[in-house]
This record gives sequence, C-alpha cells and structure tokens, in this order.
Amino acid sequence: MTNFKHTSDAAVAASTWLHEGTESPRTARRLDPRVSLSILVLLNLIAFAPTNRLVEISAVVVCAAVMGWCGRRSAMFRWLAAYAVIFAAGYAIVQFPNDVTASFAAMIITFRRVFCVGMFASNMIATTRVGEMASALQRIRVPRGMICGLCVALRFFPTMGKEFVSVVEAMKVRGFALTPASILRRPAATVENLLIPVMSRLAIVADELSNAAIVRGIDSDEPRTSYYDLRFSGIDAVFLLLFCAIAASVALAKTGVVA
Amino acid sequence: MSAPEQAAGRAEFAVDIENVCFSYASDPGVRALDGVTLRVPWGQCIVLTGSSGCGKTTVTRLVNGLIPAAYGGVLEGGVGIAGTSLTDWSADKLCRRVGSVFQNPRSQFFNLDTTSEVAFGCENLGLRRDDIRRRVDEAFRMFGIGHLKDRDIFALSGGQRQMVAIASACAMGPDILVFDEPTASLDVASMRLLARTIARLKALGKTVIVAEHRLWWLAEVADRVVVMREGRIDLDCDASSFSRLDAGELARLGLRAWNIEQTGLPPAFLGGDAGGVGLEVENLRASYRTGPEVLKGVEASVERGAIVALVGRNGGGKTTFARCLVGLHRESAGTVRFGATVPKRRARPEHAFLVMQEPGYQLFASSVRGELESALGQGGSKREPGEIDDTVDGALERFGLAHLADRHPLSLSGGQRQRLAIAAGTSQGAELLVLDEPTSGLDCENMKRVARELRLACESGTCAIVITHDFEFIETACQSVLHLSDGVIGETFPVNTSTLPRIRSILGFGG
Repeated sequence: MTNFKHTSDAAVAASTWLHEGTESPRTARRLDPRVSLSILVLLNLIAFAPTNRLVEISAVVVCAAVMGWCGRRSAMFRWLAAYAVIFAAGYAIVQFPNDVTASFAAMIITFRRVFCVGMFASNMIATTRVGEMASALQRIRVPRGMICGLCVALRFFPTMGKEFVSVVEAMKVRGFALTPASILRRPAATVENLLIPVMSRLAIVADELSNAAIVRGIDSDEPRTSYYDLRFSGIDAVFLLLFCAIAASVALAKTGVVA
Repeated sequence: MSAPEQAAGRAEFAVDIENVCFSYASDPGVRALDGVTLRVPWGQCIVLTGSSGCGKTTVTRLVNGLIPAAYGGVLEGGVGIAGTSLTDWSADKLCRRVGSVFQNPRSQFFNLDTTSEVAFGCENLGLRRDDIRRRVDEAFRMFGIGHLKDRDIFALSGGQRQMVAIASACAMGPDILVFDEPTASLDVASMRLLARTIARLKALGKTVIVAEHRLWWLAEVADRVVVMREGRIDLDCDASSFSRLDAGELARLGLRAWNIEQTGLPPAFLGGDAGGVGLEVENLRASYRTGPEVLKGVEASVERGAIVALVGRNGGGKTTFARCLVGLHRESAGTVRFGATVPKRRARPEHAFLVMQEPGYQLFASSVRGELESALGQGGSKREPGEIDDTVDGALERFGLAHLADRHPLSLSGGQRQRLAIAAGTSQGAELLVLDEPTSGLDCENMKRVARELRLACESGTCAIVITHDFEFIETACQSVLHLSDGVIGETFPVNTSTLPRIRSILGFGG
C-alpha cells in the first residue's frame, strides 16, 4: 500500500478492492494457469453436485492452502473468516425453522455452494499474470479474439472497482452518503447515481483502450506468440491431485459407491 | 533495436502530410483539419501545440493510423508515412513502424504487470519467444527502468507508468514515435524525466512527434514547433526562433510558457482580504492501515475568500490532507475547524467540497439545473422553493451555464463539467473548495478560465485549496502557497514576485 500515496490517482481511491489489487499479482509463487483453469472447472462442477459438509470444508481448506502457498496470508484469513461467518449463519438459521428463515437458509446454502469458486477465482486473478493466462489459452487453441477479450476483461475488473470507489466517494462529497438506510429508501435513485457516472466513464475508458489496442497490433494477422514459457511444477500436481480427490469423492458419493 | 530499412532507399520524410483536409464521421460538418501540410524529416523532434480542438490530436491519429482504423471520416490530400501512403499501410505493418503513447496512463495498459505489458505488442505481432525476451530486456534497459520490471502497474506512479508505456511502444521497434499529451497527469519531476527520455529517443535516431499544451519541458529537446488553430497550421518554425517569441506573442497565440521563468501571465498577487479565518487545521495526523504516518501534525489556516496552492512532492501527503479535509479519510488525530464550527468527519461534506480531477464522477442529476437544485437542497441551509429557483438562476448566470441549463451534465465538455462541479460546490454552501489538479491537461485559455471561475466562487467568502503542480496556474490564481513535505506544512508564504523562484524550486523546476 505504500506506493498508493505516490500516485495522483490516489485521490480517487483507497478501498479494500484497491488494496487487493495492489498487493497482488507479483507474488513470487503461483499455480500454472492451465492447472488453475482446470481446478476452476472442477470446482464449478462440484458446486452443482450435492455435497456433504466434510467435502465442502475440505475444498475450502485446500483453497486456503493455495492462497497461503501463494503468499497471500491476509487474503486467506479474510476468506476463511468470511466462510466461518456464512457457516455459522447457516447453522444458526436452521435452529429457527419458519417461512422467513427458509428463504434465508436457501440463500446461505447457495452462497456456500459457490464460495469455493469465488475464493479460488479471486486468488487466480490476483496471482496469475495476464500474459501467462493468454499463453495458457493459446496452448489449448482458444481463438485469438477470445483471448484478447479475456485479457481486457481481466484488466477491466480493477478498473471498474476503482471507478465505483470514485463514484461512491463523489456521492459522499455531494452529501448523498451511501448508507443501508438510504439504499433501502431510494433503491432506484441509488443505482442511478452509482451506475450512470460509472457507465459513462467506462465508455471513455473502453474507447481509449481500443485505440491503445490497435496501435499495439491487436488486429495483426500473425498467429499470436507468448513471452512466457509455461512449465508444470510438483506443487501444481499436488494441488491438482487434491482437488481431483475432492471431486472424485463427490462423484463417488453421487453414484452411491461410498456413503 | 536498429531502425529497419533505414539505409536502403528510404523515403525522404518520416511523415509527409500534403494539403490534408479531414472531417470525422461523427461530426461531418466540421473540418478537423483544413489544408494541413507538414513534412517531418527523419530524426526530428517536433511539437504540435495549440488550444484544445485545434486538430493536433487528429494529426497524431493520421500518423499512427488510428485514422482510418478507429476513426472514420472523409480524408482529402496525401498522407505518407515512411514513404508509403497511409491507405496502403496494413495495420499490422504500420504499428511496427509507428509507436504511440497516449494521455491517460490508466487506459493504455492491457496487463496488470509491467513485463507482460511491454511484451504484449510483440506477442500480437507473432515474434519468436527469444526475440520477444531480447526486445523486452532491451526496452527496460534503454530507458534505465530495469527496476520497474515485473511490477504491478497499478502500484506505479503516473511518471513510471508513462515510462512503461514508452518502453512498450519501443519494444515493437518503431522508428517514429507519437505522443498525444503525455504529461496530462504528470508532476514536474516526471515531466523532466520524460524530456530526458525523449532526448534519448532522439539520440537513437527516432523521429518524435509530441502533441502537447504544456511547453516548457520540451524546450531542451524540441527541434521544431508547429502551432495549430482551428484545423490549420498557424506557425511552423524551428525551436530556436520559437524560443525568441516573447511572452506576449505566446499569449496571443494562446500558448503556455516555453520558458517557465517568463510566463507573461497577469499574476494574481492579491492581498488577503482578511475576511476572518475560513479554515483552521490543528495537529492533523493520518495514516493508511498499518503503514507509516502520512500526515504528521499538519497545521494550517486559510482566510475566507483566499485561494491557496497546496504544493509538494508526490508522496508528501497532499492528497491525504485533501481527503481528510472533505471527510473521505479518517484522521487519527487533530481538528478541522470551518469558521467557528468543528463538524464531525461525516458532516464535513456540508462544509467542504472536493472538485475531483474527473468531475464527471460527481454529477448525478439529469440536467444542469437539476444538479444545482439538488446541491442547494443538500447543503445545511433549507430554502423555500421560489427562493431555490432564484438562487439556481443566479448561479447559472454567474458561472455562464445559463444556456446549458437543460443539458444532461454528461453531455457537457470537460471544462463545462468542471465549471458545473465548482458551481454545485458553492451552491451547496461549501465554505471550502478543494480542487485536485484542476488544470492538468488544459490549454492556456482553459487554465485561465479555471482561475477566473475559482475567483468567482471565492468572492462570496468561500476559500479554496488547490492541489497543483502547475506553476502558471499558481501564478495566475493563487494568493499563497502551502508547502507540504514529509507530512507537515514546511512553509506558508504569499505568492509575489520575490517568492516565484522559491515556488518553482519547490515544484521541481531547475536544479
């Protein structure tokens, strides 16, 4: 965070989101992007299948281990804390079964289902270089247009986060503080205030980005190459195996092989 | 990175624009260029300048091929880049010959880390891996920015980001480089670094074309200056004869200073009106999370109606100080007093208003009038409906927005938005306006306009603190200077003839 105050952009920043953004991608250790993508697919499949608590918790623990290995301890603790809160909330709510809590309980279960996907994806975005991701996708013959689209999309998340932070701050300056009460009282106005400036800004940014893309040869007819030479490491295999084991146990449970 | 095909049968000019007229498809009635002829020999560094909308950006777009690749329109006349007509270049080939660096460092990057970014263009061109590696290493070495390799782009300063942008362009091996307002978000030290970099490019034999408002930083490196106005070339001379133009002639051309010690601007030098203290800050301390303290006991006091420049090196805490004043950042200790009241942090927006660098963020209503109405309703003072109408009309009139009253704020130009934000701030009844770099990327006329508007806003007793690196603006608009360094106010002094050299040295000129 120390660099943040040196930038003139700092005026429109300082949030958890930005914090995540700046601490991130340059951690020394990260999974091979192909392994990350495979694990992400596995986690998505698991999210659709019925699981028991033990499987779910072990998936969260392995995700946390990946984060820890990547050297993102504070993010790891934040995600673990978030999971603990959701888990406890789910536990508490089933103690009072009625119509109102039922819908909340369903929401919490859905949340828990996709929790691992979010956790792993956030770590992947934070640790994987965009160039390496592009290289990985090129290897599996994804079309050029999709790769460039994905690169820009990845780059867009932090930008969009910053834009939202700026607008929320601008609202505070104008005296339209964003409080739970004000959102509930005037939801449409809140959305309008928030979205219209962001959209108009993003339209400008998109124009500028596409100009920059053209002069950097994005339309070239040559097949794209990569700076990065990807190699699997032992730790890639370890984490992939762990997630495979979790997926396998889900599959076995589903087919009735194990209870 | 030897320039290709330089030896054998090379065209005489790097850029050869012959009697060109161009109008954008989006604005067919207006000729963005109207009979422009410009020949740039190889290895020359040329500055294109002139007020906003004069056509200098359009010229850069002809050179880097964004016209016609991204901007359609009607083009008449001949454009030759390195001896080949613009229409015969494939986008593929052209971007190997012409590199581009743009104004906004935030929106010209595709990657989150610097190395991938520098490699990005080469990857698109399909170069071999070992070739890419060599070019990337060379690009970092060429500009002495090896320490920026493998860094998070979002954590770099504006100046560092521009260096990465230049390295990215150079890695593709161009022999012509086009810069479109590269200093819009840079401080003085970064601008001087950029000047040294351009000198380096020249030494490497590159042809450099810079479209720019602020001129002083180019005085050492430019070979030639071309002044444009309304799509035509007004003046085209070599740099040494340009440097002999006196300040008055520059002002007539609507240009910013070439020599920062002779700006030729009518200085404000207003005495304080002593209308009582508008803002008083005592022992303000602040930090970010677990980081070290950024503000270490700031003491400051600003009189009502005064316009004060807040200067100091980047990283000295200017932005944090401003954010504390308007209540966006929680200080760890200290008092902020407006007049006689000491509001809680959350209530500070009722007293202080921040005009952001991009005012588009802070306009929320569906019309200019609605914006001012909601600002009036927002402030501490409650008014009757009829009274609101009158006050809004008054404010529209005062800030020259009356003819725009029914327009949507986002349909206004950048300058008009900024004016509306200032008007909203004063309508909201703010006792303090805080402006963050209000003149970055503005031409001379618009810079003076901001000064005028600010004076207008402060007539009624509002005081203003302006974070700025713009010496010309300080000279024109501000009465005094607060120098914030190492988290404390180092010195406070009035702006007058005898203090101008000191202000220049604080901003980082000379030395």
